[in-house]
Amino acid sequence: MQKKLQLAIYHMLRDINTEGLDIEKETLEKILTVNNEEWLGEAAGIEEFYQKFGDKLPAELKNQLKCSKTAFIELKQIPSMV
Amino acid sequence: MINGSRCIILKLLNRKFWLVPHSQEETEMTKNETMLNWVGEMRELVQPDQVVWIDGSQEQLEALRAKACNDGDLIKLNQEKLPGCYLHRTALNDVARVEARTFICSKKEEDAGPTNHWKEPVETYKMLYDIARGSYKGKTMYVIPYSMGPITSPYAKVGLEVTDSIYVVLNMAIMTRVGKEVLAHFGDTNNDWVRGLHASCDIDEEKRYICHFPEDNTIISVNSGYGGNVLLGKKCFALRIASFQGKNEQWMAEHMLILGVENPKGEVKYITAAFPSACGKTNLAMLIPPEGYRKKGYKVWTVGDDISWMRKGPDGRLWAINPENGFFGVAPGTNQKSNPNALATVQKGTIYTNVALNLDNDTVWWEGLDKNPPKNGVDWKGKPWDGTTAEEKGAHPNSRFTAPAENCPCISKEFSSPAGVPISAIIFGGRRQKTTPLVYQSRDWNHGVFVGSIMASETTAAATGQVGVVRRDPMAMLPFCGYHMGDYFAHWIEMGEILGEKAPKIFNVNWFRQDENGKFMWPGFGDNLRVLDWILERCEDNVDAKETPIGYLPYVEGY
Repeated sequence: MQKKLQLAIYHMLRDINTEGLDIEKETLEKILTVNNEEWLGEAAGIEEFYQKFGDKLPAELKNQLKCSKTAFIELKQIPSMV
Repeated sequence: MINGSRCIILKLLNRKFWLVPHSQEETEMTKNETMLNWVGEMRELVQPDQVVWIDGSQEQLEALRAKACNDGDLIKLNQEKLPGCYLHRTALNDVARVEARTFICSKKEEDAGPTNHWKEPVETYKMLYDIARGSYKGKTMYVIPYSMGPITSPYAKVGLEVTDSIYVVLNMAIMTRVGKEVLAHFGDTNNDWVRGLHASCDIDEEKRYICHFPEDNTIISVNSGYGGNVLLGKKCFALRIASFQGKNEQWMAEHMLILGVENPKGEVKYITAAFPSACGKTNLAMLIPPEGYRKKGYKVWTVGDDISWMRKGPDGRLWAINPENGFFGVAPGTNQKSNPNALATVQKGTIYTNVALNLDNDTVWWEGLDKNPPKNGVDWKGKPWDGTTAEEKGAHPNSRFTAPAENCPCISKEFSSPAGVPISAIIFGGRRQKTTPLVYQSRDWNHGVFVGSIMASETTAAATGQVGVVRRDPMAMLPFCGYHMGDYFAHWIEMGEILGEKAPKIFNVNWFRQDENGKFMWPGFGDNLRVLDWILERCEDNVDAKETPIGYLPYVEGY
């Protein structure tokens, strides 16, 4: 409990430390956002790239790609996830 | 590890290489028969007037510098302003690594994989020997014994490079540990060393080949005089050959910088990071903390700027050494703002390649150094050049500095530590205008391997080809993995199993996000420490993060 409380306070202070940095909050939000549409496109590119490796591509990586794609599709309705 | 194919070649050539007697100079350097025999073979092949072994002494190197200046291979710079510094110009057709001429010559084509160019080894040895045969006539053959990694480190590996280029000798003497000491420590019976033949020949790009024989620990480079093609310890050995050795010996040779972040309590945590070439890697390795961090007592220490060899250490953690002893950095864009530490590093004992020369004071200049290009200058092509009016560039975009690591003001005190440094976090990155966030953490090791495998970046000048095209470059190893990339991914997964709970955490960063107007959204440079800070806090479980389909991202709420 104590640790959780500490963490809560800590992350308020320490997400990305912007002390002394001239950056708009909106800009920071933009570069710390996952755009599912863009990532779905990325997944397609990865799928194509992975085909190069044929049978030598570890099953683990195929699985990682499949899970990522599923997650992007499920979240497609939400334009950006914060 | 003497291979079958080379023995066949020797028979084909009908030469009794093994009968060449060893000279006294040679046997004073080493009594290792595997080395002496190979040097004898090479001498028979390239037919030099004489053979000189590089002993690592300052006297010998100084004599070679003088000879190179006399021969016109080096230009001595202003010794008051730039003590021990020299300028070299390559041939106009020979200014970058050439991936199309770089081959992995494994016995089986499938072992090189779909991302490497492959050549059949028996035929390739023959072709290369035919090109190199007799090419040292009238010249000296220099034999460079070198160690990748601190000489006494159990992680270090040894190589011999023979070359007809003093430029290569002098660069190798900066980039690696060279000389007698290497051989003395290596011993007389050990055969675990990498053979490297470099022959300048006519710098004919039609006959330029950089060939790797991973199963034979052998590299042959012909018809080039440019850094990455001919300093065989670097990309050729420390990545292409070493990645194959690492797969077989359960360690990792990675295209990664190594840096330490010291917090105000004096604790130093180490990070390795992979970026494609010329993506700000040297700048990150030598980062200067922003003012607020400096005042609190944060410091960044450089262990390496390009290559990391990593193994499971006695305590179960992943430990890294930098196999190199210097920096071979891209000059253009290096300035007081982007990398003051690199700028300080290249003020002495440095060889510049393909930068502009200022004839008024015998100093050097490159695009992005400052706003004062020389009026009375010479460009990288060796032509008169007025930087105040010229439209052409004075320095080649891939011009370089070769500088000793010990010059670096922020060199880590662990730089020469035989044990290396323990790694808390591994970072992947690339140059992406959109999509990839500033930073995210992988869910676990295997997801981290996935994150590394999907790395992509917009291309730069370090490799010849188009500039600004997005290219997938897994772990920044695409041009440097000496075997099948699919097997390489499997090796990463295997290393995760070996390291278990003690494996470093894996992250991805992108300093290069742009807005609709093409303006960079993150300030980068020293401020990248803010991201490293978050990464290390995540490693210590000190900061919460939000879960997304691509991994964990920093919250912005607390802003």
